[in-house]
Amino acid sequence: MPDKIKGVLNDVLKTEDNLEAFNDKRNFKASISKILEKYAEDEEIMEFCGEHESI
Amino acid sequence: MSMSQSRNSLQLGKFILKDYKAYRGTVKVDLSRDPEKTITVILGGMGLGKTTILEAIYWCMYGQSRSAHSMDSGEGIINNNVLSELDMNDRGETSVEIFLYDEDELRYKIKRIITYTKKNESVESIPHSSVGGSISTGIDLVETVEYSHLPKRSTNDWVVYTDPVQVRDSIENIFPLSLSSYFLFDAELLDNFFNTSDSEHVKNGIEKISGLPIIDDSITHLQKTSKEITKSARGVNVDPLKNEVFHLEKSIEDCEGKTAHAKEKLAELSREINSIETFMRNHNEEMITNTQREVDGLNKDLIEIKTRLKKHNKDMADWLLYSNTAIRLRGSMIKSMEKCNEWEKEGKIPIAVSGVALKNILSGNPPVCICGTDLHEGSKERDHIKELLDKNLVESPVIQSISMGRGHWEEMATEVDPLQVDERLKQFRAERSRLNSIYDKKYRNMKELRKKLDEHDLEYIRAKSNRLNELRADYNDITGRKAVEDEKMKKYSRELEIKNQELNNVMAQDDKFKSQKNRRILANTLVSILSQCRNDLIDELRITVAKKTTEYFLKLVSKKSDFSKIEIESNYKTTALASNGKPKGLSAGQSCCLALSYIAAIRDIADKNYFMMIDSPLHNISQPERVDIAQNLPKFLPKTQITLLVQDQEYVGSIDEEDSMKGKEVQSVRKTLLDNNSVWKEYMLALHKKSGDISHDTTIEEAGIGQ
Repeated sequence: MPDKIKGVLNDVLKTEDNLEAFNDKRNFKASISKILEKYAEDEEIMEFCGEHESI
Repeated sequence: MSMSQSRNSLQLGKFILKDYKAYRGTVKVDLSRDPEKTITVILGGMGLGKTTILEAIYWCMYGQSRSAHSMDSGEGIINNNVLSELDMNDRGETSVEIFLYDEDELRYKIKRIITYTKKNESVESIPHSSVGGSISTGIDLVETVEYSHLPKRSTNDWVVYTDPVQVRDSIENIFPLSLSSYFLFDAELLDNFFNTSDSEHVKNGIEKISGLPIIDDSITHLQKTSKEITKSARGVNVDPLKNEVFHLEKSIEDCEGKTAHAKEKLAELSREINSIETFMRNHNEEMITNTQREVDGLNKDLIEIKTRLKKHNKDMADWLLYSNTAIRLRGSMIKSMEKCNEWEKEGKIPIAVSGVALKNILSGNPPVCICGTDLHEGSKERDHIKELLDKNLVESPVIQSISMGRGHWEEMATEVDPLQVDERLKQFRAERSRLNSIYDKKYRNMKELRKKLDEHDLEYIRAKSNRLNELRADYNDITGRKAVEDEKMKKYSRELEIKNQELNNVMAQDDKFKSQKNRRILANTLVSILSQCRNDLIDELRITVAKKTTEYFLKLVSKKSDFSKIEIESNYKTTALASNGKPKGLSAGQSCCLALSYIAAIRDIADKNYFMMIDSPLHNISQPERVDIAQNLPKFLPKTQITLLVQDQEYVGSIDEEDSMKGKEVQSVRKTLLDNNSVWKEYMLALHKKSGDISHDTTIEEAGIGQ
């Protein structure tokens, strides 16, 4: 698994941790959307996703 | 994500009860927040209100009753004496408030209040489902709840919720209801921990307490966001497909709702089934016979101890009478002895010896007295003795009486040595107190068993048995309906997958959807990776928990060599394996050890170190096992705030019940905990009844260590 994907996962989990810490789970959409938007332009990541999807 | 990084300590710093059940007036109790002396003890006999404390905290947090049993016990949430003193239309308030600390700072406050108005004289209480307990039929009431949370440390920006749904969600977030048995639990639960048919406790422990909820939330949120991305796409080609996807998603959501409802209902039924099953286990015919036999045995023991006590008391009284007289005469006896010795030396009275003995000495060869005096022919001493014998002075009754009297004086003076008398008196008293203590213990035990026998009302048992059958039928019915919904959900999910693929293909052909498509693919990839991680983690956690449980169990349980390990299967079925590798049944004490070991193991991997309030954890187990557990509990659960709700017998008892007739003493749980410096404070529950009260009230008094 490329480091970049690990970075995305880390961002997702950190966000969830914060949402839980602040008792604010209702705000998940904005937080997760931001992460997806940020990484969906990265070619290396999308290449990995494409390969992963085809397995 | 490192679990140790986010592991924090959640403590129950204080609770306040106001006119709640047996607790009249306002009762405030502080609990330990000392990281070293982590244990607070609340001591009280049966029926005094220990379990009520557990109930109160559970009710405050979740607004419901902890068990079906307490729901139908008939005891009202509002104190009966307070209700009976109200005049018509008077208003009152019953509440429970708890203060929860995160590390060293107050972070959460929860207060649940029932405000009521008296409408008639009835004090009879009946189960009231919306307030989660029994309520008097003579009142109108309003229930409110307030949840305050300090989101950022070291600030004063409290967020307060009063909307019941928001309060429920917020509490669920920090103290999930399904985990409540990990911080509020009782002996009944410990006994049944591994007996539940669905292994729900073990499953919840591993899946929910261990930090996995963050991964679960990530998966759910990514899936929801992915759907939102699709919904935001607009176009002639995608709209019909989007509608189909939308309908399928709606159907799945519908199924999910029904399944979740069924799961909730099943958990509720399971709790009630377990509670009745426990009741039935303790109330079957064999149990009644055994209990009766035990009562008869105890009765016999009590009569025997009573007889021994009577004899002992009589012996002690006789001995005291004799010693008392003798002690008083001791001085004059010693004086008389000294005077007689003096007169004997002066030849005023004969020596204290019989004529036969003197004749034997004189005819001896050589004639030597036992004191070494040579009594040969012609010696002064021989002549003196001969003279006494000739005058018949030695054999005269008067002289013999003097000699005998002198002998008795000496004997009595030695026997009644004050130091020896004191020692003997101590021995008498110690034996009397030992017998009394055995008597009291057996008497208490017999009273408890008799109370149990009184509960063996056949009508009641039959009603319980019918209820159990109804519940099992409901359980099976709901399980069946849930299976149908699960099947439907699988079918819709398959269809959804196909439609999503079609939608993806359509979107892929159109460049304007490139960004949405990429975000969707990324979200799905992340869901797939996280799901795999979740499964791997659960397997790893299950294996780790099994290993740690084994480790703790083998340290805690007596007869360690009987066991090889504890196994937790992938369906969470938990089994103790004997040394030959075959499953082995557990006694009540061993089950208790296993449950505590499992809880300790779970806490090792948990991301939160929850407080623990344990009701009668050592009730049904032998004294040596109690001491073992007391010795190990603080070691197994370091830095964990523990509140023990205990009975006298399990806390201060020091005699092994099975060995009580032999008087075999072992260390008490209290001494063990105090020796380890683990106890922060002790409280005692006490009963109070004023004239005019319709029932007893309970108060909590601080006892203080060492008192």
